[in-house]
Amino acid sequence: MHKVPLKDGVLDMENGTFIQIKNLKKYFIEEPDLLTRVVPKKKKRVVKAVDDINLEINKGETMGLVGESGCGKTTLGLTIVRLYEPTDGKIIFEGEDIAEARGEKLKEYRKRAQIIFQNPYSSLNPRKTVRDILTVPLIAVGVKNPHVREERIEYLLERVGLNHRHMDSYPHQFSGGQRQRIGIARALAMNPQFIVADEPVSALDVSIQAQIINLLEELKEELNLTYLFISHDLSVVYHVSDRVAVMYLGKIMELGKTEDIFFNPVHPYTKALLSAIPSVDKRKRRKRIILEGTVPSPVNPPKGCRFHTRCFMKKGKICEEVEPQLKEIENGHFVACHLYS
Amino acid sequence: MLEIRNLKVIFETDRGAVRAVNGLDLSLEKGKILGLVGESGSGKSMTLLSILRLVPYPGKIVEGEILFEGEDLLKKSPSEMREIRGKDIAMIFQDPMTTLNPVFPVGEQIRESLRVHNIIKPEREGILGFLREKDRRKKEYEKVVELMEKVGISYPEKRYFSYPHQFSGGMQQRAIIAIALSCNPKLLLADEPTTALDVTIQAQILDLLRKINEVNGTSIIFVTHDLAVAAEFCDEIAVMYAGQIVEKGPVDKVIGEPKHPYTKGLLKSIPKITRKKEKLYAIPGNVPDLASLSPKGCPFYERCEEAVEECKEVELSLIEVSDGEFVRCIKYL
Ligand SMILES: Nc1ncnc2c1ncn2[C@@H]1O[C@H](COP(=O)(O)OP(=O)(O)OP(=O)(O)O)[C@@H](O)[C@H]1O
Ligand SMILES: Nc1ncnc2c1ncn2[C@@H]1O[C@H](COP(=O)(O)OP(=O)(O)OP(=O)(O)O)[C@@H](O)[C@H]1O
Ligand code: SF4
Ligand SMILES: [Mg+2]
Ligand SMILES: [Mg+2]
Repeated sequence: MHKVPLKDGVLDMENGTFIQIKNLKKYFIEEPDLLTRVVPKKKKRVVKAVDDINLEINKGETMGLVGESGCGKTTLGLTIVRLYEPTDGKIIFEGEDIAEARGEKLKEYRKRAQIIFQNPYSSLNPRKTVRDILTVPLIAVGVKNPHVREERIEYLLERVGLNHRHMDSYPHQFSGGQRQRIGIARALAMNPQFIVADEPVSALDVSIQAQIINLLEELKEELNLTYLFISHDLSVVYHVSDRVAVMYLGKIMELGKTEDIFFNPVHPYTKALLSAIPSVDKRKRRKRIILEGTVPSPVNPPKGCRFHTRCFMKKGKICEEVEPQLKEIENGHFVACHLYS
Repeated sequence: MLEIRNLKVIFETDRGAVRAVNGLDLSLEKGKILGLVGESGSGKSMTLLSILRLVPYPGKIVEGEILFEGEDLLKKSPSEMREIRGKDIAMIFQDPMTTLNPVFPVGEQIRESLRVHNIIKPEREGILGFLREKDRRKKEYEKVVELMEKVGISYPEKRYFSYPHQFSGGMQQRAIIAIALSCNPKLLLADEPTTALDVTIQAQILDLLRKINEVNGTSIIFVTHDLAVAAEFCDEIAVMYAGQIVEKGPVDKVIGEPKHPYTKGLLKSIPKITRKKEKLYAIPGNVPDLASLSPKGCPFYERCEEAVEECKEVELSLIEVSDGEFVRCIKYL
């Protein structure tokens, strides 16, 4: 089980693209509530949470996804694993478009693409024991024999660093880190190939975060998994990712190898984001770029470049009028900004 | 300016006594920013709440002294405390919604805090009281607008009548800071003021707090679980574990040359953005359960990689290892 070697940014074609996301959109329609419905002018609001995203994830790689709160990271993750219905676009998994898959085909896909949730406190049913929680996915993948199932649960618990004595405990009897381990075991029970890890360590204590990150990395090596790793913590993303995508208001602003993104960022937003990371090491601190204002609403994203309202390098009128496309500026390094077109 | 000695806070629960703060010593000089760092449940919030005597039931301060400008706050009467709260010492609470009331406009809430502390004095009571009140309100309104501007809320006249839910997280935090600053306190207690915010917004808020510290000379105790934030923002750092300070000192010492095994472990376990990626160091074990923690010995014993047999029994206190640098560990006894 080896990592896909990166040669000058060109990915090993033998392993090749694993998941290809094409023009993916996920809009939420917010119906006006009863009160505002009587006001004749109030219309439905469309939240463009994921707005035309293109992304390829290669087999065995960890794709990091960063961006500020509300930019659509979770929505993208949930849409890719098809827990959300895409509004438009394609999700090509091993050569097959599953964006509109139904029935058996969808069930099959959901086994292979799993998600680990952000909040280990609310993502586990409090009335179910660990055994119950893990039995459900095992039955789904067809482990019918109870003895085999029992063995499998023991193996899974051990694999995520829990004791099999814990099998009959309830979630509230575990600490946050342990609960996250249960969530990981549940995802692994399906024998997935692809895992979306949505902020898997954000709710955990600093001393526990490293344990979970290490566990996820070990599992990846051992089971040859592919990850989409979502986090707003850039240091964590730097540590785990082979490549990184930077999202802003439903769109990808910059995409490239982790080293390129962190040491040679080109998009003004990426630059600002990186400059804001606090560091314990004085020498590592970058000159801080303080962005004015806050992220605009995804209901009415700014015209032209979505970032222009906060951009400190704005080129001119073009930024307010024309939406920049994601373009390759060097090998495998993509950016959506008029400064580079 | 502030000196806490041997503070103990206990929660009596059906699982036994939870020693939330367990013999804490801390001091702060005028104009300084002190970072109080520690994991969830280590007692950071309870320490701050103790200073204001706001520890929630069933928690109780059972021992200790909290000297503020030479006077013990624990000996003050409730009315004296009310006077001090907000006026001399203001707090930014961990959860913004405990400060902001969802049903009142933000500006009115800031005005309310001016009123409570009588910042704009009524000129004269009497038959013209009605008119005076109108005049006073107008002055307060102007002051609020000024405060909102100062904390970086743009278009304050327009935003004055907005409700909290119409504000983003960063804006809400600014409004809370405006309330805390309304009486120009000498000491600001900030409980995780940026934890819920994005890094770019966090940078804005830290920038703002830094300015307040420099311009008004306000001393700040800044609570966070993020060592990197504390390292950048604070002059001094105190690391908490299980209700005690295990290490404290100037930021360069604590971050640059950590002494306590817990501080060292925390620093090693933070992912760093350096060219060479290495496997992360992880502190073994879990965060301790305070209800079942042995009252004897070092509370970090079970997770400590440098522990020796004696650590289980040893009687520890903060030991000064160099000028202004203190450590609570058997190796420095
Ligand atoms: N079920 C939903 N209905 C309506 N709007 C939604 C729904 N889920 C998400 N949104 C909106 O879509 C946008 C993107 O949300 P999403 O949760 O994907 O962001 P995120 O990047 O994961 O943020 P965070 O870092 O806070 O988790 C937000 O504006 C959010 O309010
Ligand atoms: N109502 C309560 N009953 C029993 N124990 C309590 C209660 N409130 C707090 N505690 C205990 O007091 C300890 C200290 O709590 P405190 O809120 O000060 O922690 P903290 O360091 O601020 O943590 P966080 O980072 O999660 O805010 C905790 O371990 C908690 O178990
Ligand atoms: S006293 Fe012992 S257990 Fe505690 S930190 Fe020091 S070496 Fe570790
Ligand atoms: Mg999310
Ligand atoms: Mg707290």
